[in-house]
Formats: sequence, C-alpha cells, structure tokens
Amino acid sequence: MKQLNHRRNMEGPDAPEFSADSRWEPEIIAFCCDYCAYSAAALAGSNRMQYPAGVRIIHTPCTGKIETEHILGAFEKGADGILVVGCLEGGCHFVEGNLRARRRADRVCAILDEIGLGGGRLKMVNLSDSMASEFVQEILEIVEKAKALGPNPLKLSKQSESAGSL
Amino acid sequence: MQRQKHCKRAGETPALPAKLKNFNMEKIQQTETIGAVLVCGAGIAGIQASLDLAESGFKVYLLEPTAAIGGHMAQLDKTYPTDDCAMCILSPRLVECARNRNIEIITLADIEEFSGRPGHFKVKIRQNPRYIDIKKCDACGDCAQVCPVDIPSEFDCGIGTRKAVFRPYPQAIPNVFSISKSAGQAPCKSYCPAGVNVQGFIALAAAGKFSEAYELIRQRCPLPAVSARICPHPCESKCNRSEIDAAVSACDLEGFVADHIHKNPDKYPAFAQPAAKLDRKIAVIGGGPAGLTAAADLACMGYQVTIFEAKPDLGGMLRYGIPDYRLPRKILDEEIRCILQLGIEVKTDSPITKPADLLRPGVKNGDTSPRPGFDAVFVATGAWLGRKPGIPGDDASGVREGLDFLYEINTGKTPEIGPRVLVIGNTDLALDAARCARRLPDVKSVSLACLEGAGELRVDPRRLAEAVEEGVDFRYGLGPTRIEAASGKAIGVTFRACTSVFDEFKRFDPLFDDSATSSIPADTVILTSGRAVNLLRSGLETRPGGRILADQDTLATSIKGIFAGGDAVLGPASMVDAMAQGHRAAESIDAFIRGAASIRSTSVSRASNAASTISSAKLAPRPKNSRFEIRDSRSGEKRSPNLESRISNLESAIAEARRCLACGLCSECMQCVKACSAGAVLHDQQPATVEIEVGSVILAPGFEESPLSEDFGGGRYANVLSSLQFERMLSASGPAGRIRRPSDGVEAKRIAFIQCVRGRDAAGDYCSSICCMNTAKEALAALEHMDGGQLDITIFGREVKAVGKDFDRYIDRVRSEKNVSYIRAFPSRLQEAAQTRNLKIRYRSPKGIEQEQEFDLVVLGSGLQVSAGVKQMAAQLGVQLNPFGFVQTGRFSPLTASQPGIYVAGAFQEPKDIPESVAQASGAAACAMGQLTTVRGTLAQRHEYPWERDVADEPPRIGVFVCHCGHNIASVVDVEWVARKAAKMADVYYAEANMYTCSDSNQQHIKAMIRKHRLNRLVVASCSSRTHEVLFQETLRESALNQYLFVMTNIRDQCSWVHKNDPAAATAKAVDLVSMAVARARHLKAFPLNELEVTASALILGGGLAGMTAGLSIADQGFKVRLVEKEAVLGGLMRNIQSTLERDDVQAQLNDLISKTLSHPNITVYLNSNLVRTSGQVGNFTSVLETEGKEKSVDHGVVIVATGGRERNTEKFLHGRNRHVMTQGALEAAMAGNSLPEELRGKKSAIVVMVQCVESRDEKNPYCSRVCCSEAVKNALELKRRLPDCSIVILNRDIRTYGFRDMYSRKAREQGIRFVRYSEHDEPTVAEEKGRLKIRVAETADGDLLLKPDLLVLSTGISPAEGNPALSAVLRSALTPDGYFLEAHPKLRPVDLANEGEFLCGLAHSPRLMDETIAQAQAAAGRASRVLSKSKLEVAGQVSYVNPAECVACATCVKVCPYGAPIINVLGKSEIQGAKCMGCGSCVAACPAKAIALQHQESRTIMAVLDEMFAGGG
Repeated sequence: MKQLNHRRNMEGPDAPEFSADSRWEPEIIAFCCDYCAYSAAALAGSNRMQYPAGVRIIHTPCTGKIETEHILGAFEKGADGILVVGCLEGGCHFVEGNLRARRRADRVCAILDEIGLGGGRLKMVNLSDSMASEFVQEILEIVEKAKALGPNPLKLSKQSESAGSL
Repeated sequence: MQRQKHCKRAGETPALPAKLKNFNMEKIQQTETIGAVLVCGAGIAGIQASLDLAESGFKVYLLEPTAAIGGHMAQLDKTYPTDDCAMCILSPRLVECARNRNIEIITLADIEEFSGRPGHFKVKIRQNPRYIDIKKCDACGDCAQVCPVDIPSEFDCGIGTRKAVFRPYPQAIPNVFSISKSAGQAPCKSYCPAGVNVQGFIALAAAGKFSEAYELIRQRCPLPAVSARICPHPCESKCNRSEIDAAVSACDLEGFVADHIHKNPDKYPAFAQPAAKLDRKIAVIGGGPAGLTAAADLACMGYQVTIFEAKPDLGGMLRYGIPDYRLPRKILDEEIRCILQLGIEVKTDSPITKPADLLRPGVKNGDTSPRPGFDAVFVATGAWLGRKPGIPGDDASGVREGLDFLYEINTGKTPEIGPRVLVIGNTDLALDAARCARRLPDVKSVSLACLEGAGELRVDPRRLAEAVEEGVDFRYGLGPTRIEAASGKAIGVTFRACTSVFDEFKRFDPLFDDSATSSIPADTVILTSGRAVNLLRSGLETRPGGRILADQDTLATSIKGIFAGGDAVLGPASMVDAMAQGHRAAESIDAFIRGAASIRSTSVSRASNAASTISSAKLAPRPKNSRFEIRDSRSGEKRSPNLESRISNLESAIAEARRCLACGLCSECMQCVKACSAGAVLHDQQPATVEIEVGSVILAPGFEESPLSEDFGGGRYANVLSSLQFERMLSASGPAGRIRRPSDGVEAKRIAFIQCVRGRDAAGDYCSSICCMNTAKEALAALEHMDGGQLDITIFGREVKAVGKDFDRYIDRVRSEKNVSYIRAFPSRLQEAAQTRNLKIRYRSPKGIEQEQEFDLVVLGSGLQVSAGVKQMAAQLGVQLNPFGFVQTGRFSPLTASQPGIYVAGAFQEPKDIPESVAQASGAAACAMGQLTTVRGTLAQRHEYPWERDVADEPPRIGVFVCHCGHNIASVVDVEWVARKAAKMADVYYAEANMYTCSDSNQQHIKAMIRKHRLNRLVVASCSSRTHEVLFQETLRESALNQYLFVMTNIRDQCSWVHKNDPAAATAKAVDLVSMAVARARHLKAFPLNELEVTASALILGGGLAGMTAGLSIADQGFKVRLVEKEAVLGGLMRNIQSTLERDDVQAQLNDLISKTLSHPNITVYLNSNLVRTSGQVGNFTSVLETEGKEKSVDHGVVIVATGGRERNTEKFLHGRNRHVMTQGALEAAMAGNSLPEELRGKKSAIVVMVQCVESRDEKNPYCSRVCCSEAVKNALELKRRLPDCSIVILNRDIRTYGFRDMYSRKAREQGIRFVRYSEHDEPTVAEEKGRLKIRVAETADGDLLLKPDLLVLSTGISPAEGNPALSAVLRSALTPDGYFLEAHPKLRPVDLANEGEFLCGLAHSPRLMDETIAQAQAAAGRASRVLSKSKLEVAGQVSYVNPAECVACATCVKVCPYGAPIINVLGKSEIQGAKCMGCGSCVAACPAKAIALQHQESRTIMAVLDEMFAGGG
C-alpha cells in the first residue's frame, strides 16, 4: 500500500524527526456547518478531546449547501469516510437546510451501496454546538466504520493507475 | 486635554480595551448631548440593547460586574418552548457584541459615581482588576491547568469547582481568563510576619507539587525545614478552617514539604539566578536567621554578599540556642549550604565590632559610586547576653544562665549540673533548658517555675505537652523571691504566689501575694529571664538595654549605609520575626543603593492586606474532616518526640493540605505566571477608575435566584437543589453531565419539583413568571438525559402558568409524558431520611387526603429576585424601586425609570422570560435613541478603508502566516516546518511562523509583508475563524485588498489540540490543512460588499396601541412613518379597555396617544386602508395601499406588522341567547365611567359568576390568551368596589396572573372573591330556568357546586386578526398554527419577521397585556431603527447568484429559499435579490441545472480543496 497521504508532508532534508507509524488510517472528511457543528468541533479542541489525525474538517455555511456532487466527488478522489454534521433538527439557522442535507445524504448512501462503495462510509449527524463529546464520538465511529470497510477502492485503483503510468 | 474630559483615567488600567480611546471630541463639545449610552448588565437584555444601539449609530458602554458577558442565559441548558440549546443561540450574539467596534465591553466593573442630566450624564466606573492582561491572554488555558486552587464555581452554582484562574465557560466574551482574589489576604498569609505565602504552598502541596511548594516557601523563608521545626506558626492561629473543625496544620505541612525535598534532592528547586550580577558589595554581620535571610534576598537581587560571623559556624541562635533534638544540625547545615550556593561569601570566626569600618569611604557622605569596600552593611548580630533577674542569692554557685547552659550543650560540652534542676522562666528558652536538662544522665528531676498560671504560658502547646510527657515538673504561678544557698551553693528557691500576670490590657504587669510563699529545692537553678544585646562599642546609637536604634520601616541606623535588624534591634524574638527583618533590610538596602525613594517589595500586594474572613454560609457545605492528629502517629514515643514524622506520608500530607478553604481564593503561588507564555498574568494589578460621559443609561442588570427556602431543606439537605443548579447539572457543558445526587453521586430516579417555594408565598406577593415553564423544560430535559432509563418526575404546584406563545402546547407535551405527574398541591413538609438522605414530601392531595412520597432529589422553584448589588446601583442612580425591590415603572411606560434619561429592560423591570427581556431591550434602546436622536452618529465610528486594489488580472500571490499560538500549536505541531513547507507551495510568495499571528504588532507586520511581496491572497493557519476571521479581514481591507481574498485554517482546535499525543501526524496534518487553504486561496475572487440606499421611512400596519406606539417611537427619531389602519378610527382593541389592574385610566391614555399620533409631523395616517401588495427588500420596499377603493403606492425601508387581534366570540354558555351572559369585554364596556351592567343595577347583593378559558386552551384554540385572568380579576375587583356586597365566583382552570399582577388575585381572595377550579374534562354546565341562570360545577373537594348568578361573564380569550392570512401572503411571512405571525426566532428575535426589514408587535405576535404591547412596539421601533438610521445598508457580499444561461426557470430555488430571495424576473430567469439572500447556499445545492453558485463557496474552490487533500498520496 502506498504511503499515507500526510506522510508526504514530512519529507525533506530538514524535516523534523518523528517516529514513523505506517499503519493505515482512514482519510475522513467532516463537512461541518458554520453554526453548531463547527462550534462543537472547536469545543472538542478546547476540551482537548482526542481523535485520529486522518480527519479533515471542511467548513460550509449550512449543511443544506453541500452538493451531492461534492460528496460523490470526495469519494471519487479517495475519501474513506464522510461525516456531514449539521445543527439539531429544528435548530437549523437557515430553517431547513439540515433536513434537506439529511435527504441528500440518504440518497448518496443509497448510491454508495449501489456502486459497492458502502453506504456506511457516509453519515449525517445533528449536533448542537455544545455537543463536543458527541462530535468526537461520531468521528471515532465513522473512523471505525471506514476501517471495517477498508480503504476506499476508488483510491486504490487510482493509485495503481498512477503506479502503472510511472 | 479635551479627550481627558470625556474619558478620564486614574491609575493603571491595563485591562481596558483600546477602543476607549476613539472619540470624536469636537462633536461632543458642540452638542453637549452625548451620543453614547451606558448599558448596565450584560445578560441577554443588555447585549440586545447594546447591539441595537451600536447598529443604529450610538456608542455603547456595556458594563458588567462579572468577568464575562452572557448573564444567566449562558448557564441554561435549553430554552423553552423550542428546546433550543441556550448557548448555541446566545454564543453568536456574544461574538457579535465583541466584534462591534461601537460597543465597549467593560467587565468586572461597577458604578462609583453618577451625576449629570438626561442627555449628558457623567459616570465614574470602578474597574476591578482581572489580574490578566486582556490584550495578551489568548485563552489557551495553560494557567488553569497549573492552578492548584479549586473553588466552587459560581457559573455552575456551586455544584462543580473551578480554578482560581478561570474562564466562566468556554464561549465567554471577553474570551480571556481572570483570577479571583478575595478582598483581603488569606489570614494565614497575613499573620505570617515574614510574609510566607502559606495558602499558596498549601495549595501546591494539595496538588502534589512539593517542589513548587518548597520554592514558594523559600521566597519568604530561606530555611523552610528549620522554620517548620521552631516557628510558633502564627499562621495557624487565625485559620478559618478552625471555624469548622481545626486549623490546617500549616507548620507540619511546611515541615513535610521541606523534608520531602531534603529526602529527594533531585526535586530541589534551584534558586533563580539574578537578572544581572551587580558590582555592589554588601556586608552582613551575623549569620543568624535575619542575616541569612537578608543575604539570600540580596544575593537573589544580584548583589555580592559577604557574611561576617563571630562564631565558628553560621546559624546564630538556631545553632547555639536551640537543642539538636528540636532542630537536627544536619537540616540546619543543609539549608544554610543551599543558601550559600547563591554565591554568598562567608567569613566565620570574624567578629566585627565597628560595622562602619567595613563601609567603603564615601558612602556615609552619600557617594554611591562603585569602588572597593562595602556599599552597605547589615548588622544582625543577635542578642546573646544573659540577663540576671536580680534576686537575692543569684550569685550562688549552681545558679546558671539559660542561654549559656544551652550554648554549652549545643557546642557538645556536658555542663556541670546537680541531680535536682529548677528552671525559672516562661519562654521557649526555659522549656528548651528544662528539656535539655532532663536528658542529661545525672539529672534526677527537673522543675520549671513560671509566673503564669496553667494554660497561660505563651509557648507552643505541643512543645509544652512534650515537656510534660518527658517528665518536666511544671510549677505555675510562682514569682522567685530569693535563691537559698548553703555554703555558697544553691539548695533551692523561695517563691511568692503570683496572682495575675497581665493587666486588663493584656500587658505584662504581675501581681503577687506575699503571704503565700513556697520553696522548691534544687541543686542547679537555671535562669532564663532575658537576653541583652552586646554591641556597646559598635558606634551605632542604641536604646537603653543595648538594642540598636533603627528606623522601624527602613531599618536604617544612625550611620548612613548601615542597617540593623533581628534580635539586635528587637531584643529576643522569634525566628520568623528575624526573617521578616531580614527581608525588610534587603529591600531597603536595595533602595538605598539604587538611590530610590520607594522600596520595591518582594511580595505581591493586594487591595487590602487585612485578613479575609469567610462567611459562615461558605463554610457550611464543607465536610468536616478533622486535622491530622500528629500525636497519633507517634504513639508510644515518650522521651524524644521528633518532628520528623508529623505527617507521615505523601497521601496524608495531600489530604491535610486539601482541608484548606482557599480563603484568599487565588493563592498567589505564581504557577500561572510561569505557565503563561504570553506573559499575561498581572498579579499586581490594581483597581482603576474610568470616567465616561453618556447621554442615556439603560439598566438591564437582571435577577438572581432567590435563596432556597430553609423550610424545604435549602442549605441543609444535600439533595435539595435550586432550579439553576439543576439546570447546570443537566447542561452538556456542566460539571456533571448526568443527574447525580450531590450526597452520594448516585443517579437520581425519582425527582420532585416544588413550585413557588419562595416567589409567591414567603418574601413577596409577586409571581416570578418563568418557573412553571422552566420546570416543565427541565423535566423534559431530565427525561431526555435518561436515554430510556427509569426516571419519575413529580411536579408540585397549585397552578401552571403557561402564558406565553406556544407555552400551553409545551405543557401538554410534558403532561402527556407518562413519567411526569403534576400534583396540584403545595407540600406542607419536606424531610430528609437520615440513612438514605432521600427526601420525604408530605402534602394534602386535591381531594384533601394527607399523603407522603419519597424522592431521591428535590428541585425548588424559588423564583427570581433583585440582588443587593443591583439595588445599591439603583440607589446610586437615583432610580426608584417598587416594594419588591424591582425597578418602579408605569404600565404605560414600562421601560422608563423614575429618573429621566434612564431606561430599563429585562427581569429587573419585572420577572420575565428571555423573549420578553429581549423585546424590552430593543424597546429600551429605542427609548434611548428617541432621546438622543440629534446626536446619532456623533460618536459611533465608521471605519474608512483605502480604495480596494483590483487583483482580478493578477496571478495569485499568496502569503501564509502560521501561528505558534504560544505553545498551543507549537508544542505539538512543528510550525516552523509547516511554514517552510508552505513557502514551497505553488503561488506562495511569502510564508512565516509567528508567535501570535493575531497580535496587534503582527497585523502591522502582515500589512508590511503584503506591501513588500505584493501579496494578493492571505492564508492564516491558526485558530477559529469564528473568532478571528474578521480581525484578519480588517487587516486585508486596510491593505487595500478585498476581504474575501482570505482563508483561515484552524490548526489549533482541529489539529494541535485534538492530536496532541501524535506530533508527527499533527504536523503532517497541519501542512495538509495549509496546502488545502492555499488551494482554496488560489481560486478566490474579490467581490464587493453590496451597498443599498435606504428609504428612511416605516410602514406600520395597524393603528392600535402597538402601531401608534411604534409609530411615535420611530417618528420621534426623525424618520417618516405611514400608519395604516383598516378602521375609520385609531385605537383598535384598546378602545374597549377602561382601566388597568392598577386602575390607571386607559381611555385618557388612548386619547393622548391618538392626538400625539395625529399631530406628529412625521406621521401620516391612512384610515380605512389596507395593504394590497408589497415588493422590494429591506431598505427599499414599495407597497400599494388601498383606501376606500383608491390605490396609492408608497416607498419605505421597513414594515411593522401591528394588526392586533380581537376578543373571541362564543356561543357557549348561552352567550348570545341569554342576556345575562356576556363576555369580559362587554362587562368592561358596560362599566365605562361609573356605570354598571343593567343586570346589576339596583341589586345590592348580586351574584356574579365568571368562567375562564371559554373556548380557550381546548382542541380548537390550544393556547392561553394570557390576559384573561388579569382582566377577570381586574373586573371582579372593580365590581366589588362598586357593589361591596355582591358575591363573585371565578370559575377557572388555573389563575394565571403573573408577575406583580399576581398580588391582585391575592387581594381578590382577601376581598371575598371566590376562586373555584373546574376540570378541563368536566366543564361547568349552564342552564336557563325561568329566565334565571343555573351553573353546575363539578367540584373536587366538596362535591358539586350549584350557582344561580345574576350575571355570567365569560373570558373568551383573544383571537388573531381576521386579516392575518391575507397579510401573511402579501408579506411572505408565515403564521403559527394559531394564526399569529411567526417571528424569526422565538427567543432572540421576538419582534423580527423572517424576512429582513419586517417586524411585528402587539397582538399580531401573540395575546398580551398593554404594557407588554408597548414594550414590544418600542422594540419593533428599535429594531427598525437599525435599518432606518443607515443611509446605506452594507449587505454581506456572500450571496448566491444565477447564471442566466443555465437557468431553466424551474423555480426550485424559489421554493427552497426560506427568505424569498430568488424571483423569476421579467426575462423568465431566476434572479436572486442580494439583500434578501442570507448566503446559506440551499438554492445552490437544490438547483437541478447547477445554474446557481454561492459567492466565496463556488464549486471550483471546494473541488480544489478536495483535490489538494487527496493529491499525490491518495
């Protein structure tokens, strides 16, 4: 298996020395709305709660803004799991954005199942901005889920393509 | 100087934000009226008022007595009736407040002086110290991590603890820490002569930080292990803990800490090296405790110190006066060795008789230039001469002087001594001599005789007990008269009885009884009566008796450059006194050499040095936990009680230290100072005074929870909580997170809520209005917490007052919960079960049966009250309070205080919930705006930015700034590496890492780099964009760049903090996050903030009380108003109301209002008119009005919906069929003037029955109309006044009079008006029999009730206006299921409609009373002024836009948008009206043709980020 994405950032003549850990960690995207979700993530930080470093948060005005194409695009590019985090139902700052996001996420899950990628790689959750521990819990769960499902096969095929072309 | 006038400062005010400086003083001079408002209290009401004012062109000072804004709302878990998370909705308001440049938040402040007149008040504000530099603190929390002091958290209402350095909650604004210190010192610290920070080292010991504790002790006591053994520890004498059980064993802890360090030399804290070695030499004469202390202090300051000691070894009296068993020599040697490590030179066996000889020539004449010789001398030679008492026979052989005796023993000699020893004296020296004698081999008996009676001896009782244990025979109350001798050898001593030692002033003045004599035989008599100083030829001036004369404060002697201290000055004193003198000498020698007038103190000073006392309330909740009994650990030891093992191990030391009550709050252990890499801790900060000038004041100081009733176990039973405490327990951010019983931590399974425990029945007649709903909310939240586990909730209360919008539905939800039962009863008793600490509640059921139930936890709804501090503030401002302590206002002017120019809002006005408080806040803001309308904009700033550079054609040139954030990021992430990697990324032209990228100086630096490298995009990798994005955007705008050419990536909250155990992964991720941000930056485009012209006029729909009040408020502010009324006259429902409960004349008020409205030059009234259609958006609406068939188009900037409501009609209860049945409205109309309804005229003893909730709170109208109970009580009282003999019965389901109105239902009861409850399932039945009414009520207690009234009055409630559905369609504003207009947010935007620029008030919102309508109308005016006051509206540029070429006009966007922003335009394409778009992007994701994009969030930027994330590696 090719080296983990983030290791490439640690190459160079003056790179800081760290012990190399070559275990595969899934690459997870958490789409977080600007209100509750982003704040819950920040609170997890100020409470120093720990979660795996393979998680990248992408900040979005509202979960209702997340386009189906972006979720599918992220999987196509290699995401092993995606979490869509919005405000609690009824608490969306844009009234119903999170409800539409939920419907959209359900549709994408179905597509993922259909194409064999696994609908479990995508999850939509609703959190309030003080639910930092729940946020971390969801992160840990999606990481576990992605680990159980194994690396995104689209990423593997992409890698073998690029390896072949070299 | 002009600035000085407006903003005077006294003293240092490091905590004040810089914003205070920015004033336009010339304008103030011209106008005299000040365009600034002081808002007192920064709860939700204060915050709302500030935001409205600041957004409408006024400068605001937001004053808050605590460390952060947010008030009680921040403490709430959820808010009813929507169950919104309180913090979620509050937090954005807090940030908005912090960011607004016209709001100056002044925390930890209160009003000191208040003067002036409306329009121009002068306010002196006392700024209490925060002890943290607000500008430097970045809220990393490192200080709290190291703080050893735990104190009960006020924010968590005492159910959790916090550190002495703290932030109330993570979202707190200002987002900085603060330190709490009590007004005075901890008594232990203040009673230590040497100033040892006793509380500090105990706190550190409690945290297991022994090394730090040792270091802290050593700052004021260079010989910790020594002093622990011999100090009389005055610190323990005033310990507050002794009020509970026994003082904390400070001395033993000191000993344990010191010994622990001695046993573990690797933990020995090295002395801090002096900042600079000074080329100045100091001589210290005498190596005792005073000399050593001074030498250590001076060496730490950098001086070169030489100690001259006459004896062979250092230590002075410690070595030669104290026996080895009390102070082991190896400990003394070790600690002296440590001090000498500071580089102190020692010359032993070097007696100095003339100190002046050591001085370098010239010093005495004031020449202080450095040259060979000593620059100053400290004389601390001690008091070594024994003094004989002068009694006959004291020259016999066998009579010895005590000190000589000890000196012999301590120098290893065996003194010649007889078998019977008698020691005479009352000091430690006598005790030591006796005990030493007892240890000598040939001694058979040792007696000690003293003047004092038993128990009067001023020595350590422990040492006394040890001496007794060792067999010293104490003879009390004896004064020696002669020493008997035979052949020159002592054989005994004759005594007379001493009857008292001290006079009434506790001065030494012994009285003797000469007749009572006795004698004690002795071979050796040891006298310890006193010591003198042997410095006869020193050349220094002395007092009689040989003590050196030295200045009390500076210790300067008669010779310049020579200082003296210790026993040589004081006479025999304790070691701790000697050390105190050593410190003082060092400080004044330093000042002398620096030539400074003032002495720099080596310890932290406080506002007051007095010892702080702790109130008994604070002492109460501590578990009793007796002091570690030292004797227990040494049982069996008889002869040589050794201090080595007082506290036996680490655990017992920590347990003992944890008994400390932290009286000083902060212990000043200085750990935070060391931990803070930003250097933000300022322990020496002092209070400061700021003077401001304002035109108006808004009081919104809020409430405090009333204390728990002691009858119901408040303060006595651990498992009885207040409502707020329970709320904190429920809160996700609270200390518990679960519902645990405080007594044992077990999860509660049975919870009881008892309502109205104080609010109505004890201290006041008023109802706190919020408790019923709050309890219901807490009950639901508690059930949610159980995740399906078993939890039973019982709510005891006589009534449920759910009077707000949608409240009854909420109560129905709670009632339908099978686990919640409402019991309509008020408990008679609450008792705690001794074993289980469960709580038994006894009550009488509605059927009259005594019952008892047991619960695990009880929550008391004790209601709200005004705090003492707020009452004091009101007095300072000359504001009148009502009998309950709330502010006095009128029902027609609910927001105006008795003092002109001062307005009020929130719970201080009357207990109320959040939306009503928020509405009042906006209303109070409108009142202030009306008063200050001529000076609007004079002090508010508008920032001018340079002309924006067009970068559209430039290739991206990105600058990357990576923040260390102190070590918050840098300790985990290798930020320098991240910056180096960033520099190599494509399009990055500059990258660097900074310590604090957000600091002011770095903003200047970033600007310089933008200029130097011609950067056109900026990436900052640091913390949260929520808090810091605007800051950097401002920097961009000031650098002539568009603010949207900026990306912030969070490598702290999302990287270093959450991956702190994996630096490699965190660093790699940080690089990744930066590269993703750079990828995004590459694709960013500039786009302008949209600016819209504003039509400064308002369209108000409805000419009733709400419409007219709002109209006048807006018109008074100078804006045009168009008031549209569908009827031919103004007044609406108010025309039917005669008086208020308080008997104010409503019609007079109405006439006044109508004439003001009609005559106001800014108001145009359109009678008989309706709104037909409206178009446009906030700032620019165009509406068409129809007046009697004619249409007219008007332009306006805002709309206010004030269309009112109507009294509901009914056919129930024979209404309309029997003329004796009428509505409350009809009754009131019939009582106009002084008349009576026809049915009652001439009848003296008429019977009137009123029925409440007719066609209300049922399936058809499932809401409470709020006003009916008050109306019924009002009409009943009025009837009773006019017909005193009539009988009135009010049939009701609950009596929902709330707030101060509740006292009128009590008054009604007192006047004999009967309240009879009926069940909602069993309504009264009305029949007509021979024209006479018969009412049957199924009553619970006494069976059925049959009434035959002369008049039946129905409270039918309020219905929404008929025109609401049509108007809702015209305005595109939703209605609630009940038919009222739906506000934008039920809690925080109560008078806004969802569409920007549209507002609502009065009955259009929900049923309400007149004062509430007035407040809401003023609120709508205040909110509207935010728009109307601006000549141009700046609209966020981040809006959606349509690519017309792609649009298929399917109108999906029109359906999806919650704000009505997209329209299908004349070209048949969708078009998004920028001003209405909120930038959520819902339309973007929904558009099937992908024709819509959201600015700044275009697909290309997101895809670029994803590409970057998976590039290469993925």
